[in-house]
Amino acid sequence: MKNTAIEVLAVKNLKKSFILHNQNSIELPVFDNISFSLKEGECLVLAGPSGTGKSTLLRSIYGNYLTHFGEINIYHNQSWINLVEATPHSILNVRRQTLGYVSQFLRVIPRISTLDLVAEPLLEQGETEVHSINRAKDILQKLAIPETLWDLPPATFSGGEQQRVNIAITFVKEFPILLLDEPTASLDQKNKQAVIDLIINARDKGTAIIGIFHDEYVRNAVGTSIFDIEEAKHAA
Amino acid sequence: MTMSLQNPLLKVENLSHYYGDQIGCENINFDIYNGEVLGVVGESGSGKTTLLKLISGLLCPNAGSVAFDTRIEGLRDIYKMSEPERRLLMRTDWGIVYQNPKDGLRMNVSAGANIGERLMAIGNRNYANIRSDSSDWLEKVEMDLERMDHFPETFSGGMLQRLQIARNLITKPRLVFMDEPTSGLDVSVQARLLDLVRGLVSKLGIACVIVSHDLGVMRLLSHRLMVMKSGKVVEQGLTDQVLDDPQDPYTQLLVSSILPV
Repeated sequence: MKNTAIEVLAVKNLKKSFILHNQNSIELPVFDNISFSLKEGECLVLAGPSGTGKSTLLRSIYGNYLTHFGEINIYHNQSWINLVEATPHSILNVRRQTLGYVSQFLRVIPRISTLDLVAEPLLEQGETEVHSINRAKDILQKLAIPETLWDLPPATFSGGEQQRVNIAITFVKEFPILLLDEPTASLDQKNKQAVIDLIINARDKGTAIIGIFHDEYVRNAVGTSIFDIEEAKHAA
Repeated sequence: MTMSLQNPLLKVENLSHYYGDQIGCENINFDIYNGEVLGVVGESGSGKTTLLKLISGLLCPNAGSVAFDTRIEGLRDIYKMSEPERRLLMRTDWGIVYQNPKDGLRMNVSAGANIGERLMAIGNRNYANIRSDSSDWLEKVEMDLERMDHFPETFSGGMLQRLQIARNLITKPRLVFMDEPTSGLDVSVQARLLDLVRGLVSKLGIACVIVSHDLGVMRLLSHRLMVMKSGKVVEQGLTDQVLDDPQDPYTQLLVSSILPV
């Protein structure tokens, strides 16, 4: 970790609840008054039992879930932007350049080859075809996806292979901030290690990471600090 | 895909249209930027197609404005332009892909002539160039070159839809309107068309308004989503946010009604 690490993300008094309009508009509170910050090269582990809102917090930061109260400040393009108040256009820009997210499930257009799927984020950024494809091959190799699968769409792959393709699609770019939702959940020990290496590599280059890792081994290998949502709730 | 925060390509303000005392659509506001795909969803009769007609110059609204960022004069209300100006815009900077390809194609001329027509309409007269451009586009939409001289009547639904797309994109429009582009197609063809549309949009940086009732299509194609009900926009936002964390009662019902595959 760098010595003079600068802050890249600051969550302040964030609240999230769901209102179920078709079930008598009941309100399901998830968390309230959540505050923490994240520096370059830090890997913050979200801790707490299932159902405490770890994934909800990650999704809220990514803008996948809508929040109305509090702040999610992201250092983007050399200035701070509060995603709670940002327009969809700005959020898309933040997602394209600054904020990467690895969800638990792979969701892609059918019929596209794995290699093209992984290269696409770079092509979208305006990188050349050769460079993008080479980078994609490199990352697929690191994640031990057999070369015989590269030309196939991932729909028929095993759960673990799909998960690694999902990781490749995000890690092919070098995002300053990464949100990881159980990236190693369905992987065996060897493949887990490949993902751990990728995460450590990104972290040591200065990427700021927030992650949910149920596996203690993974958590200890990559984490630099812990944020317990349950404790934060009681403290609030 | 290049999307920056410049001026919007299309700016829709307080747009309303009524059929007698029936609401077609009411008080609609949104912007579209270069390279952006906007999805419009809602059940039948919610005003999706009316909205698409209003913003694509096919139906003059009762109230509100539709402004397009013209190449020379910047944002201009399309219904305050002269008819020839608007027609030119429709032939050059815009494309319209209809739900029923027969509405967007000339069924009694060859595929090649269908594709080349817009080039001729904007003044191209060199037959050899038009033909070679047309065959380029036939290839881009993944159709056999030998179908070039065949009449659309002999084409399948998926081929007609691809022909319609080629016919529209040949003039490199900046904004394309699509009304249920995948609805009449079987799923394997649908996936292929989705891939095609997504590829073309991201390579050419075209902005797109897509109307569909298929939320799966929307998740994969659109950046932003607008949900309509009874002629009004009940919710709009990032596509994945609207689908994963819908706020409006109607959207919550819509999303929870999807059958899992």
